[in-house]
Amino acid sequence: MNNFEAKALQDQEEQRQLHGPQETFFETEAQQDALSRKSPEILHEELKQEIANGLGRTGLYVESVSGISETLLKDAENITGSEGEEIAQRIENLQERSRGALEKYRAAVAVVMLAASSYAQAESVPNQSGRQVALKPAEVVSILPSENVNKIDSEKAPQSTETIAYKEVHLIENSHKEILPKQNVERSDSSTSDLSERFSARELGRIQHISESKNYEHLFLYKQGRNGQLELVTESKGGEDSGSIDMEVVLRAAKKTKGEIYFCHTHPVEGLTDFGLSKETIKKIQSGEKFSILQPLSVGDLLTYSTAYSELEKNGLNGGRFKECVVDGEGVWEFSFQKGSSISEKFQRYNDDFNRTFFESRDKDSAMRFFATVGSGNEEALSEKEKQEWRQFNAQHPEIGRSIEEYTTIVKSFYSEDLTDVFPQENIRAMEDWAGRHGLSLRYMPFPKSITGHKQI
Amino acid sequence: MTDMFSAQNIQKDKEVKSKILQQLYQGFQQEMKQLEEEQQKILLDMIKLKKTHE
Repeated sequence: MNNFEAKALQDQEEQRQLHGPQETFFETEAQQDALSRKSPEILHEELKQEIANGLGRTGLYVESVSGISETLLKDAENITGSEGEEIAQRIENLQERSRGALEKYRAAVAVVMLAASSYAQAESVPNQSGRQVALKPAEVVSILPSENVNKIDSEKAPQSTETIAYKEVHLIENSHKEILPKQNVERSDSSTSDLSERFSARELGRIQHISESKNYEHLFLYKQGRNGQLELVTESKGGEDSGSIDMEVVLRAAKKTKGEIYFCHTHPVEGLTDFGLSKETIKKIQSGEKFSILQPLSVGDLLTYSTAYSELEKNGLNGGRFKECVVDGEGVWEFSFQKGSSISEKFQRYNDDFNRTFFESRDKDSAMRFFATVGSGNEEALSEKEKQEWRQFNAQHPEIGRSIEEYTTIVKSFYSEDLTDVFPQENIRAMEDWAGRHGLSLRYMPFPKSITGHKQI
Repeated sequence: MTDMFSAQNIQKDKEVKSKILQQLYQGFQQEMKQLEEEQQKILLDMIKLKKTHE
């Protein structure tokens, strides 16, 4: 020990004698560790910022390369003959590759956003069951551009971005096959004919037109007629963001048919917090409007559906005959509880508890406001106290809570600043896969092109 | 529903995500640098061709 060290030790001992042992607020190392961490909100914000920075930087990078290429391409026009053509071809290839690099980067970021939480768990729980939890967001694969997934095994896959993206995709893709085989998932492929079977051409044209041209929620109630097609029972023209149809009318209609009952509704475009499908909406997004969240079904829809299901069952009618549909300018989302699934009871309990917790303690207006806010996934609009209440409530229903949380995560991942196509096939499949795994049946049925191509707005 | 995850997992989750994001950006950068080099080559080839034609 040298003099300095000896002096330091002596000072320390003197301090100890003067002040006693240093008191610590933290009793254990784990507590100290926990308190030294950043809050989840801060971490979330940091990550959002990192993602935004990455997307911004890569976008600018490609823009810059693209700008130079454009100039070169113009210059190449002055070079005559095959040499000029060859140069132009090289520039075009380069353009294509830079756009491809950006696409792959974005696809990989989507994978990271959805999948990486699982990697953290996978590392700590390396066994099979841990992996199952860990690789939960298998639908990541579905939201990726299919051409990227198809290229996974391509020998041409170069290093760097592509390789990393492919590795991640491959990992999830394989796990998806091993652990989460396709189960009870109804596909929407070529389902146009399903809509035509359900509705007359005239009615289809009418609801499509209404869904694109109204700024408030419009409700339709149908019952299945003898020829199998749906007959309009009643419709509520609303005039506000949210309309309603009396449950007694639903029950009467259910008693009059042994077939299916369809409760269809649009979502208001202007008051959009939960629905972003119609062309009008996409136009709005393209014009620079921002939306907090885009989702084809809201929690409110699930709650409405389970209420009607429950009421039918209580009246001795088969709740499974009840279908809820959301109509947008492009097609119809149809959803219901899957036959024989246990989710119906769980949803009913969730719904009953929801009513008890949030409706019985509030006046009607306040309860409806709360319902509309959480129902549309716009939790940010809640007060701190309400946020706390809502989190506690969901923690008491972990299975439903997780299911809704996963759903929201998937749908939020569709959102991007340069959104041009909200629901390509990949996204629709991700939604349907989610529903299939949670005992819900969800199908997207696009309107026939003959309608969407000739609509009058 | 962050309540469902422990703080430790959230922290770890963020670290892993940040790390992968960083790697992805580096990969993207490398790829773009290659493209920039190719762009330079195209430019040089064009200059040569123009001179030849002149």
